[in-house]
Amino acid sequence: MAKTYQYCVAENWGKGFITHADARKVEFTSFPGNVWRVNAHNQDANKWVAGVAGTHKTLSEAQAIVDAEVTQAQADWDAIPADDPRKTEGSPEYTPRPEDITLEE
Amino acid sequence: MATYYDIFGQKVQYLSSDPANVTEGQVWYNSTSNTAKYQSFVASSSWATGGNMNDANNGNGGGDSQTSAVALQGTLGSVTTVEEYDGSTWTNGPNSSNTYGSRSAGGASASAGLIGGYTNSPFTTYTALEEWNGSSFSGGGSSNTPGYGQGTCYGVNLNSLGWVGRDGPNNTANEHYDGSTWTTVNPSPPGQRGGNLAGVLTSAIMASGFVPPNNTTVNSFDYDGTSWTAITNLSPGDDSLNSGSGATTSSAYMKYGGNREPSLGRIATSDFWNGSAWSSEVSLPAPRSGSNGGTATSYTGALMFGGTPSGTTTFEFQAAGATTKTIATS
Repeated sequence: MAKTYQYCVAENWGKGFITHADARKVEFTSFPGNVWRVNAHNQDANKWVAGVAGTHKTLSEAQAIVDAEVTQAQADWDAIPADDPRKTEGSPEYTPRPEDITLEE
Repeated sequence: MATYYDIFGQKVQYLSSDPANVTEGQVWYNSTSNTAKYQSFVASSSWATGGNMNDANNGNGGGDSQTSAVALQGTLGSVTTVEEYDGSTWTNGPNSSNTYGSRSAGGASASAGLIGGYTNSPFTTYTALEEWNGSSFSGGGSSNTPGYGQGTCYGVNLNSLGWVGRDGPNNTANEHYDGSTWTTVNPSPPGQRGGNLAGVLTSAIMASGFVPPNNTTVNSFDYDGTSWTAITNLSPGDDSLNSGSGATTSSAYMKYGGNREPSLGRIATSDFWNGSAWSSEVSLPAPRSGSNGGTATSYTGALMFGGTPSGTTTFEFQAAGATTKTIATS
């Protein structure tokens, strides 16, 4: 099956990282660990990855980066005391436990 | 090198202000701002990255446009430093006086209010208003009812703010501020609190919000300054709190991102309300919540800054259609 997406790691430096012209030509999705998903087999996407000095990652490599970030976030959440407002539903600080993320090919 | 006159057979207009009713391709020079501009057309909407904030911030603020915005508050007990945005860079300003959590901001970049908030141990909600004039804070009139909730304050300047349906002990309280005094008016729709408010006192919108016990709802309302009227519901799954907004009236509003409750996670979807129907707009590159970065003047200048995750991120919206661009020399 032809892959739909490609992955890279790139740090969002702010203004100009994704321009409106980029966003009209490429479908962007970000994940934990500075992992970005863009279209595969797409010259504009390839140019964007090169332009932001992104490091290409295979699906499994990208998944490992995301997994590590999510696992750490889950461990941080688990370490919060049970009576902390961040774990109390209804509290304005309540934050649900980070969920696993599965990347698509 | 060929000049504009050589190519088009006419000179660039030299004007003291941007002209009205410009056509696609029209070029002019604004002698007041000393910028050359042209009228462009974009076929589809988009979200681009803006400058990163200096501190991870909940992004609770107001503004005039994508080149003039202000983030007035950070997270509970930590960031109180104001950050101001010029279209590319966030610059730190002074600190607000209180470190309450989940305060609500409304207004313009040089005329905004920061109202309410909460603290823990014991859980307490507040009525204090801090007024922002573009360079410093001063104390304003306290509201009649305490509360908190990031998206619940709206308005285009300090002399006409609204605060409605906030979380807290009286969660449907609705108040108007005239620059010195809060007046209690008709309560918000029964049971709906913490919604995303935008607009002005005589033409506002409440999109989504909490309904008992702790669920976000697709129900939305138009407010004319006196009465609340139910409008078309948001699409299922697009209900969320703490989502950005931009509006000057209840008929040109955009809602983007936010978090769904109970524990349903953040969303990336964007929805535009034209006064009679919702339509889908281009989604954010990732689900985000906790931000309230709508600009006061237009949904087309929508800005989403701070929030969760990675609280320094800024996204700038560009609507499809005609748009005025500045010609850069480099």
